[in-house]
Formats: sequence, C-alpha cells, structure tokens
Amino acid sequence: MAPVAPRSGDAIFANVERVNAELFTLTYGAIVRQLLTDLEEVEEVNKQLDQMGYNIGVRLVDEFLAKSNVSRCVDFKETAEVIAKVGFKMFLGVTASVSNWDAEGTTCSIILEDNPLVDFVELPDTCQGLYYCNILSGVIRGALEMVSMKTEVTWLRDMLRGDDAFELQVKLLKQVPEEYPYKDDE
Amino acid sequence: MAGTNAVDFNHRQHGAQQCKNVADMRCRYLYDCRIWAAKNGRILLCYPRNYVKKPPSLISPSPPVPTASGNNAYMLYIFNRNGVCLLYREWNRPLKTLNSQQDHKLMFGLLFSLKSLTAKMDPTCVDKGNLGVPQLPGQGCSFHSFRTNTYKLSFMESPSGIKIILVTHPRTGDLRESLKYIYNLYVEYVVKNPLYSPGTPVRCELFDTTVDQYVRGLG
Repeated sequence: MAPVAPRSGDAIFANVERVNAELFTLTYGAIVRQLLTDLEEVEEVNKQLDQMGYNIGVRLVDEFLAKSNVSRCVDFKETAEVIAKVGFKMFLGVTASVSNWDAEGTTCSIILEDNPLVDFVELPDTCQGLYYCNILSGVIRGALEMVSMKTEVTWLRDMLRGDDAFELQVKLLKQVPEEYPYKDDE
Repeated sequence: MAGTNAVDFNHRQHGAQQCKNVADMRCRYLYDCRIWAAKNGRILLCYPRNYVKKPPSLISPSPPVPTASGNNAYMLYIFNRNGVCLLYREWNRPLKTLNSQQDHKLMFGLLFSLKSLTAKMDPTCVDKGNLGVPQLPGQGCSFHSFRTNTYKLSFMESPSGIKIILVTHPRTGDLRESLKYIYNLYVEYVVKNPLYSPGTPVRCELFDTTVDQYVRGLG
C-alpha cells in the first residue's frame, strides 16, 4: 500500500474546527495579564508561559501527527520545515519561514511575519523584558521532546520590542532514541 | 447484597431505587443488573448482564460484552513510548494465561523486539545500526501486522511513540486506516481532555464506548 502523502497545512486548516481570532487573542491576553498580576516578576511570567507551552506541546504533537499524516522526518531540516509550514498553519493559521541554518544543521530560525497572539498588544514600560509569546517556544520544545528531540528555543527578534518580525531560534541539543523501559530482571 | 446469584429480574430487590443521577436512557451498571432508566426515573428494563467472573483489571475495567456476530476484534492495546499501557480493551479472549501486568509487558516487549528485528532485516535499507541499538520511533521500515492461524495482530506506531495494537480474526484485511482512526479517536477524547495526565492509564468512559462501537463495526 502506497504511503499516504502528508496533507498540506492549508488543507488541514480548512478542515479543523476554528475559533474566532479575536476570542483567541483576547483570551491569551487575559492569561498573560493574570500571570503578571499573580507573579509580578517578568522573569517568572516568562518561565510560566514556557511551562504552559510545554504542557500544551506535549499534547499538541499527537493531534498534529494524527491530522497531518506526516511520517517521521528524516532530519532536523525537514522537521523545522514541517513545523513552520504545516504546524503553524494548522494551529495558528499563519505560515512561518525557516532560515539561518548553521553549518551542522542543528540550529535554525523560524520567522513569523504575522502572529495572531499579538494583535492589539503593546507592551507598557513596566513589562520590559517580558516575552509575550513565550508560550510558542514552550509549545515547540514540548512537541519536539515527544518525538525524541531535545531542543532549546529562544527569541531572537520580537515585534513587541520594536523589531520587524518574530524570530525564534530552535537549537537541537540531542536526539533521544527510545529505550526498552523495563528492567531485564523482570 | 452478594450479587453473585443475579438471575432474577426483580429490580426492586437489587435496589434499583438506589439509582443515582438517573438520566435519559442511560445504562447503569448496578451490582449485577443492567438498568435502563428513562428521564422521569422510571425503570424501563432491567436484566442481569452476562455474568463472567473476571479478575479485576487495574488498567481499564471493561464490562463483558456478549460477542455479537459482527464483532471481529479480540483485544486492543494502546501503549505510550515508556511502555505504560494506556488502554486495554477486551472483547473476546477465552484463554488468559498471564496476569494483566505480565501480559502488557509481554506485548510491549514483543513489539519492541519485532520492530527492531524487522528494521534490521530490511533488505532495502542502506544504513543498518547494530541489533539492539534502539531506533527512533517511525524511523526505518515499520512492520504493521502479523498473522497466525488463530488471530491477526495489527500494529501502528506514531512518531510520538503511541503504539496501537488490535488483535482480530485471522481473515481480517488491512487495518492500517482503522488504526489511524483509533489514533484520531485517542487524540479527540483523551489528549484533548485537560483532566487527563499524559502518561497515565486512560479512564474515560466515553472513549471506551466510542472505541467499542467503532471496533464492532470493523469488517
């Protein structure tokens, strides 16, 4: 039986249930606001957003794999392309691009021109240092960990801080193949 | 009440009035009775379910279902990448030789080894690691079923390490699409449930019912 080809992000995006973009943006904004009120420290909020993103990513990856039919990516380059073209399109409705590969092919940048999370948002002076979209870095990290890749995801450019686009740097730390989980004496 | 001699149909004796949360045409497993209760609380039908003595399953208790003629499947297992059995459903398994824990370990170990072996024996693959070196899930060739004279075992593994195993009648066709559908069901009912902690056995009645219904319809 011929392997089923992966569906493009557009096709899946057209088929999944969608939610109103404003509702999504405002809900996310409310979450960040509440975190700022509860935790007060901007660094703490960044960490908490990353953790929330991680928990989301761990679950999101199964939905992504089930709906998009992608088979295992051959290398990290393909993984990054799939995240940018299919993943972002499927869940956020925007397409990202991948660039700035390093020599070994373990680090790349995912660039988002358009980001639905930050519509209507402006950072006040009291929140300098806040990575408003840090949930995205957690999501990518969590999702990749479930497919045996340990990564580090950081923000290089952030439009809310005056840059012209959102740029995420994804660095592959190591591939963790699965091991037989039971001890041999059992 | 002992509940072992569940032959009589008198629901009052079984304490049907103890039915809580009486809902619209929902079946309530009360002691040994299967009670269908209507919206107004009136008991419509009450009869004893098939009384099959089973060892208590710690993973996913599955009520014994009488095997209907359309029921092709014998068992279903769902494992995650760490060997935790997330779901075990059983519809037709007269012979049980091991307890649940051993059975799950055996099944997981069998598939782990089979995957490794089939990948290493692949004649079309250029790069072969050493036997015993673990592979990344989804990499290389992947086996999808084996058949014996009494059953057929179909297997699917997602790149995130979720393994779905369905044991059916030996003359069943290719079940890869069905396993993909079950994976979709898993995503919808289990993964998206915020009250479910990933990596723990699934206790979701709705998921169990939906899977039962789907598997019953498989040719």
